[in-house]
Amino acid sequence: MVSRTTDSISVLQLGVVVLAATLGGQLIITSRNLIKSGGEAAWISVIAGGIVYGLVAVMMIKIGRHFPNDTFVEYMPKIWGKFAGGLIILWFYLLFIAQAAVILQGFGKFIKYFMFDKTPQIVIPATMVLACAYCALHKINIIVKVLSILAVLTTPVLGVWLLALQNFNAEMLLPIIPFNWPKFAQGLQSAWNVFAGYEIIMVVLPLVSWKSPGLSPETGVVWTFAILTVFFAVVIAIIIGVLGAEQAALFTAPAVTVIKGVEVPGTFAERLENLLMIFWIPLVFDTIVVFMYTLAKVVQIKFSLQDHRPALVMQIPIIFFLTELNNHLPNYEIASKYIMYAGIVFSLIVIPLSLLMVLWKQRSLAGDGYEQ
Amino acid sequence: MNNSNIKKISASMPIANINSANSNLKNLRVLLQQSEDINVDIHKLISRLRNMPVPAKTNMYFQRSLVQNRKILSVIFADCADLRLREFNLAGRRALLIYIDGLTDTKMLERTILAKALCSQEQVISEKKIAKIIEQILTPSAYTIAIKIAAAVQQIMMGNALIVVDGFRQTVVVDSAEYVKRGIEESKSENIVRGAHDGFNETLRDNIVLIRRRTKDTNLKVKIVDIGQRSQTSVAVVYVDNLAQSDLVEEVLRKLAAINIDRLVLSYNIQEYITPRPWPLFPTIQGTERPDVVVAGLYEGRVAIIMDNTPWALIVPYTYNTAMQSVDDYAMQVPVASAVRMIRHFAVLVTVYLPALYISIVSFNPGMLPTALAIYIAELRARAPFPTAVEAFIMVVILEVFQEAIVRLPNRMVIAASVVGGLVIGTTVAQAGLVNPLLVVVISGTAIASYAMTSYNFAMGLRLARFIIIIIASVLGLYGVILGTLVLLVYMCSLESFGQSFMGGFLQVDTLADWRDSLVRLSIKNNPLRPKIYGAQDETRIGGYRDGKQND
Repeated sequence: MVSRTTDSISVLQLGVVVLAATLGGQLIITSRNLIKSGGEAAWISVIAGGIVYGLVAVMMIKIGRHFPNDTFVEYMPKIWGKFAGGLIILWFYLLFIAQAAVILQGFGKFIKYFMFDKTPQIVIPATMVLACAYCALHKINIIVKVLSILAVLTTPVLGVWLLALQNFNAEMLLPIIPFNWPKFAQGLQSAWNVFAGYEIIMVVLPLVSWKSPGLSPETGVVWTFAILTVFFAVVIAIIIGVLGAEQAALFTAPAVTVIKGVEVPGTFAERLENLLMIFWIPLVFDTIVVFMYTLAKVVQIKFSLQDHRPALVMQIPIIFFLTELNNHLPNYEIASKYIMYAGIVFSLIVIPLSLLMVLWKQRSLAGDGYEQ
Repeated sequence: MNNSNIKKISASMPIANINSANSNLKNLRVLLQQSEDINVDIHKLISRLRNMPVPAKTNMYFQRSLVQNRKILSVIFADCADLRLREFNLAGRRALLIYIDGLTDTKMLERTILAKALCSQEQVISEKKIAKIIEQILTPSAYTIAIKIAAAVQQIMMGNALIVVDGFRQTVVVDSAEYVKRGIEESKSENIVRGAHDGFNETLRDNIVLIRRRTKDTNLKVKIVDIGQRSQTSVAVVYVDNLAQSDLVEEVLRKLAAINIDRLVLSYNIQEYITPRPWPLFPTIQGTERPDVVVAGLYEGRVAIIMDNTPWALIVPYTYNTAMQSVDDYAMQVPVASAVRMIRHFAVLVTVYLPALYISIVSFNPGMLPTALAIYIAELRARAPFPTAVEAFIMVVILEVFQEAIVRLPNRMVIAASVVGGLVIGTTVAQAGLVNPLLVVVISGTAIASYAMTSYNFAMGLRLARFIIIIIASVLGLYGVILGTLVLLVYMCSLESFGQSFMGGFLQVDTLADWRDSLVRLSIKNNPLRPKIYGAQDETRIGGYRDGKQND
């Protein structure tokens, strides 16, 4: 068949969507908090986080397999009942919209600081939200085409971090033994911020044409998490190896500071941090596009709209307002922490419990002689 | 005239006076004016009646009487000075030969129709079927029988001759079209170094032959439709039956059938009708003058549309990858072809972004440059009276005006214009200090990069995109350039060409096989599959199909 621009994607494209949702804002914005909580072992926390959240992602697909044509907006009320299911949907929606606002706020702050010190900060997220909205207005397969091109063009540039190996000091990663379990646990908590966004799987999954033979969604997602985990762990290890855990926690953006210290004499590109920031913009774009599409899709399904576009247009001012609110909140750090807790509870309690409920219901139905 | 017949008005109207004469004269003038008006109205009515198309389902047939038929045809072809009517005897009956002078091979008509009829005018055949008479007396190479007037008239307009015989409702259309046409020449717009040099001309029949000559595949199908209520222009839809998706072919035919226009002059008229977006920045349908490009497209599972009276064939769907491919890429060593292909992709970026990057880095982020270069640019900029953005905008506009002027100029003037534009304006503007010399280099580089495109229309789209990015860069600097790029990318992905995104399989994870002929080109042996993105029914190009059977 001619691959018409229909509303469906392949398993590989699902991987690209998950990659886009997680690889964007988190990279530069959250590295400081992660190292602050995890200390020298923060990179191990990232690996552990990758395994944990990768498992949760597989659980999401397992739940989705029981409701092949439904998004979580449709199946959560079936699992938890109308009221509790509705609360979970609301929880998801608020979590994502808050995350989008946090990323945009951080993005505006860093771009202003590193590239446009004379530009009002409000201009940066405002223009970014509009550009993202233009992309998110399209069908999922058009969005995935954009994400795929950007992933191929921009992700390899992140390899620029490897240049920081010239300043890398492996001793900075020590001591690993004796292992600091409390720090590791705190790091594991903060690791949610690194992988936040993978929850979009629950909304996008029904759009995946997984009936065709080949890669299963579970395998696709496991591979995606493996790539993400290796990438984040290497970046965090390099930051700690170059700056040291204590020092890194003092910088606003240690990931950028590491690149600032790289000198490549005789080359045209002397300011590598600017190059990094330029290629970071498309990554944030990817993440916000996926978030906006997911949020609009949730509203579309919840209120039985024909199209996700009206919902998307309506949420533009909301996201922008929340971004600006973040800028003016005195206790912004605390707000970010509560968002993180909400995300952790959602991932580590709601999802496993939902899977258990589904399995339990299936077993009881089978015991009564019913078939799924 | 005899003077004795002339009488004074007073003789017939003795009591007439000057007042009544004036009054009568006035009435006469009014009557004359009214009669003129009526005459004009009658002519308008006749003209409207003539031009009123017969409803599609209404069939008008020829009569048995030759006189009646001649009268009908005379009305239809009234005021057509190039129409030729020739009466002659055929098998003991009166017959009429009708054709358009200049569109028909008259020598062939004389040889096979008139001479034969003359030789056998004593012969009387009481045959009830006209075809029998034709076969026994005349010797046309090909003919068809027409009973509907509209069909016969259309055939005459196509250059064929019509024979109407007294006593028959059936008429004979003799295949005799022959008209002045351009020969097969090299394509004017798609020059190549190595490869076939024949290009399409303005004759549909010749163009189809050029395609047929390149493949003896019976699966290559040609469907011809007539478009344009007045022009009735023939448009051929060409495809390979067991490669092109049937829904794609149907969609093309459906869109062509939906074209509601009185005349077709350019193939671009069709393109505008069948493109879903009214104002696409980039072409979503490929245009080519080269038969080898069409054949290559057909064997990728695509569909070609060829219009009579234009050498431009259209191919759908069309993607960015295809826009980056040239025939020459396939006629040179693989590593060289791959390098050339990458340079072409790089040229796209230069065409769109170089002036915008110059503006944003010089105006907003000079710190990104190496110190020595930043100081050098600052020194150059010190003399320029305009801000960087205005300076760049002026130069880009001058460049565009210059390019447009060169396209419109006669060939002899182009060299003179190039000297004036390139040397006089370019050098003088920089020497006068109106713009800095580095910007002249930037703009020249941009212009040269845009010439590397294989498709003129695509290059034009890039040039317009360059203006948009320059404006964004002037306001938001480097951040604006990136944002503009993202929006442009979304736009390009959302552009649809017969169900396919314009960016097609470019850097897509689910069409990895297509990467073999994308940024680089692998050897034809290493690229056994057709482009996945066009969805050909048979994906295998090598060893997949032979003698009408799918090999195991």
